Amino acid sequence: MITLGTVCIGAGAVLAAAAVVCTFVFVSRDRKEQAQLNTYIEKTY
Amino acid sequence: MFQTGDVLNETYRIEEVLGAGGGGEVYKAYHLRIKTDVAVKRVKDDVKGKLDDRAEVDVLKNLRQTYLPRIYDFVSNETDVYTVMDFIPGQNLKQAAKQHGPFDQKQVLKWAVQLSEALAYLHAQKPAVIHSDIKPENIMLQPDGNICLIDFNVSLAFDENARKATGISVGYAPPEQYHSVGMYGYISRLQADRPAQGGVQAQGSGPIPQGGGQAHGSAQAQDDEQVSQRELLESGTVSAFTETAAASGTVSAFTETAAASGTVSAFTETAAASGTVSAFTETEDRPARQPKSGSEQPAGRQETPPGFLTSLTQLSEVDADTARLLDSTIGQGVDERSDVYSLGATLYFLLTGVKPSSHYWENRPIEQQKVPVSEGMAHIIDTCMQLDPARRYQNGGELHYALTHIRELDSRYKAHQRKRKGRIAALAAMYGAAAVLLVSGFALRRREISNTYSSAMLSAETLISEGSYDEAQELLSSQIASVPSRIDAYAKQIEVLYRSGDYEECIRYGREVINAPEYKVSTEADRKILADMYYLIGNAYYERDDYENASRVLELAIRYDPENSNYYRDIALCSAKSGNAEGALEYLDTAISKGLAEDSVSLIEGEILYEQGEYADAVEKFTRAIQITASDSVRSRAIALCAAAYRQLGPDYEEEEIRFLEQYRGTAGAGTVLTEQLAEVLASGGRAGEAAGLYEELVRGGNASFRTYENLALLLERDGRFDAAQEILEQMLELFPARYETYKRLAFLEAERQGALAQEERDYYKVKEYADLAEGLYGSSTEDTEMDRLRSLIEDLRRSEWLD
Repeated sequence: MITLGTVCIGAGAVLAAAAVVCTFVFVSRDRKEQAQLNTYIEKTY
Repeated sequence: MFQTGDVLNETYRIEEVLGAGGGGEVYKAYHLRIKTDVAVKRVKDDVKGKLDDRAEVDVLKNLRQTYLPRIYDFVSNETDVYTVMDFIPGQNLKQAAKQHGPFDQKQVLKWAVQLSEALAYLHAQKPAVIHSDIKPENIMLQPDGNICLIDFNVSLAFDENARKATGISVGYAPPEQYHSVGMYGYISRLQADRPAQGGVQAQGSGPIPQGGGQAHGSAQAQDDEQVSQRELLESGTVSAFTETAAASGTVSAFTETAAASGTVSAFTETAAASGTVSAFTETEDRPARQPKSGSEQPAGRQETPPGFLTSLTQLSEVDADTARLLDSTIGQGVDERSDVYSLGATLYFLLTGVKPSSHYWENRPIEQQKVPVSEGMAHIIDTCMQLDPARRYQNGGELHYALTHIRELDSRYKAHQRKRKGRIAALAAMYGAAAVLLVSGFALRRREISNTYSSAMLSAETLISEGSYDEAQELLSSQIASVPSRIDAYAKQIEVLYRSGDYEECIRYGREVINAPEYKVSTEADRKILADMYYLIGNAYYERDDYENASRVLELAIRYDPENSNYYRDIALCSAKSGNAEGALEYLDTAISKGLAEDSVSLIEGEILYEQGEYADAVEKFTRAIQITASDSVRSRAIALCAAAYRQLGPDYEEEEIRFLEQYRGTAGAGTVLTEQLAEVLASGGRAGEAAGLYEELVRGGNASFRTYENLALLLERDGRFDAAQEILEQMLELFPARYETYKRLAFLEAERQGALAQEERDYYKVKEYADLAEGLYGSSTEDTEMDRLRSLIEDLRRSEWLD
């Protein structure tokens, strides 16, 4: 039976999974951008 | 002045003259004791009297920093004072810039970090040591590529209150370093000289031209311009009253100079001699000079020379805000921020090849110079060169921090940081929201499960009261699976088994659940429920006549709920049944002290009397219980027990028993048993017809036991109603096919029937047939005298040759 509690748990689980995926994506992008920034900083300063 | 070979203080042999700075001559010398090259520099006259103050001397001599020369000593002779410090080989940055041109940012940044480190060190001293003359000429480039900051103004270290540096390095000195007189006089002179110099010189990158002015839109001083305040005074453009005003901190020096220069008017002499600000104030009231006209004289100010400024607001090329800012800053005296300005100006020069102007309003931001400079560096230099000291880095430490964290000023870095922070915030929001949803979801779910469980318990209660035990069990099993930690459903399950009469399963399940509990007993209510579980199991043992186990389990119930009088009541019953009347009465007393109701007390007393064989007294107690109780369970139990007691009493109480049974045989639950008992009493009392009627009633109602059928058949047979008896016995064959008694009764009935016929009509073969069938079902474990009688009958029939 679908109750408010199960809906909240489901939504929370989906959101948590999305957050995990976003974390991986963000970390990957951040690393790439950080490397580019480091190269620029190295070159400039 | 020393010559080569001279020995100072018997320690320092002069090797060569290095130069003449704003403060005095500088010599390269040889330290005869420690055998190393040193630099000897004549310091300002105002230091002379202060060498006795050891604290300041020690501060300077104890300065140890990688990018500062070490000060070895202060030496004085009759006329002068000299500092002795490390000799730094190499060329200064001005010389290096002349050879190399502007330097790239990486190189300049490296030097800037070193310079700021040295500056931070100086500013951190107590009191702070202000260099006050930072410029490329005073920065040595050592052979290892590192710099050394030399030639700081020792005199300032001796008097932190006299922050009026006596030397001005044009372009590198901040506005506050000027004496106001000197500044205005200087600018006035430059303004006057401007047309003679042929206007604006183009700015350039590349080597700094020798001897020419450094221009970016202004008439500038000479390259090597180190202008002293004295020079400004002697320039002839300074009026007497302004000398006095500027001399508010150094009156004596000013008046001496003014007097020496011969430019002091009578009025000024008086004002200077008095050393009072009022002289300045008087003068300030006079109308300001308009420099653009060049030749006008303000009315009543004959001593004010032509072209003289009293405020930068008088210059149309300076915007009003800048002019007011400079007016308020000029002459404030140097502090740590002045060094920051000078260092910024130095960096500006090193990067662009353009020397900053003392016409501060004409200095272009470094971003506008055609050199590759990063945002961070441009920001730092711009901050250093703010006209308002409050808007600069406040000391070398702050500047050093900015330089070592220069990347943080870069817009790309900032954008990356912003993006990262945004992502982190977004992730934190997502995780936070997920956590909130999960936590609240689980909390809601727990509440929902609890509500469902409670509803299910109520439904189970209803089903049990309706007798729907199978449905109740199914419902309870699902709740146990859903919430195994709660005890309620287990207790209800045991109750269902007890109420349905499945005492064996009740005991088995109860033991299984209690021995390996999955439920939690955490509250007082849970303890009571557990006690009830033991109570029901104990009663199940009681129903199976296992009074010993019943007592043991009921004791456990008392342990968890010692205030429940019913538990003591039932233990009293068990004791009575076990023949322990004394123990039974003790438990009964405890039950009464715990508040056992009067009806239950009567019931138990009756049971105890029954067990003691006091049937008449027991009947009295049971009757009382029946009369006063409002409980169905107590009533039905009392009725059943009373009937049993009557059965024991015998024929003397037959009428009373009949009345009792007739009154209560309609009671729910007890009807069948009491009706059967009544029929038996009537039959034994010779009222066979009435008895048969009751048995027929039971058969019609579908509540008849085997015994009922058998008794009815017997009564009908005795009454001569053979066909009716036959019919009943044939029903019994269908209902109880495994019972030998049916065939036995049929055999006797057939024998009766044949015996009633004439001899020639008799045929006993069926009697033999039924007897054989009875024998076939008759087990050897039972002893039935009627079977012996049947065998005798068959034998007699054989002997009589009725049978083969």
